Amino acid sequence: MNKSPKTRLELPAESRNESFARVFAASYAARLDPTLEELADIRTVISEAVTNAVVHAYPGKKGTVHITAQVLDGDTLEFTVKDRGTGIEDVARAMEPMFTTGGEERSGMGFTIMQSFTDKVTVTSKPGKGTVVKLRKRIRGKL
Amino acid sequence: MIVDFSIGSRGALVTLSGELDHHCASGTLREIQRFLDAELPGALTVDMKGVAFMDSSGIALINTLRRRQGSIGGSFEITNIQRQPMRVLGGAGLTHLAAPLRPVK
Repeated sequence: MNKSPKTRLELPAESRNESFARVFAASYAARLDPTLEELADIRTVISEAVTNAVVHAYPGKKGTVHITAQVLDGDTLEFTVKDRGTGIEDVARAMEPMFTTGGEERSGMGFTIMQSFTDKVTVTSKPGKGTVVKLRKRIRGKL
Repeated sequence: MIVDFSIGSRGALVTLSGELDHHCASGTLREIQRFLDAELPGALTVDMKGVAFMDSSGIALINTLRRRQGSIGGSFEITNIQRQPMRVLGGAGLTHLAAPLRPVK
């Protein structure tokens, strides 16, 4: 597999940085000349992954969200959203539609949307150590 | 997020402009709920023509408002929902949330 060098971004895990993460992802994705819909999907899944980290990773304390971006085989974007926070006890349960520990303000659909808009979502987590969400999407681009 | 409120013969109208994400969804919902608590409209319309982006936080907002109106037997409607927010509802399998909720007679 041919992989481009990684581009990295570190953000404080604060909600005001969610839009910046979307801008970063969209700007990075632009190199593959995506359609508007593909671009919107990229922004959406990054928003979901970063929001999960902001909401759940560092309760009551400050933390950092690490985002890396890479192109695989010339046409596939891979974004990794990583935190070093609380981690997820049961990843499979966390990924169930409508499951949330975030209260009424959360829909519990973040992972479902990530899975709908990408080709592959990989979530690895260790309680007390943090979570890594890997998102892969092949860009077909403008016809 | 910019939120405009109005009350007319057809009930309450809430117009949203901006990106509906986690950062602004809670505050936006609180603003709308304060307005609803004050006006108690039987009919609520949310105009989303100014919302070009929404993630699952927007789903929670829509669902909360829809449930609130449903609990009082009122109506709820979303108008001018843009392509990306509608796609997010579709990706979540929740396009029915964009369908009008009619009042209970």
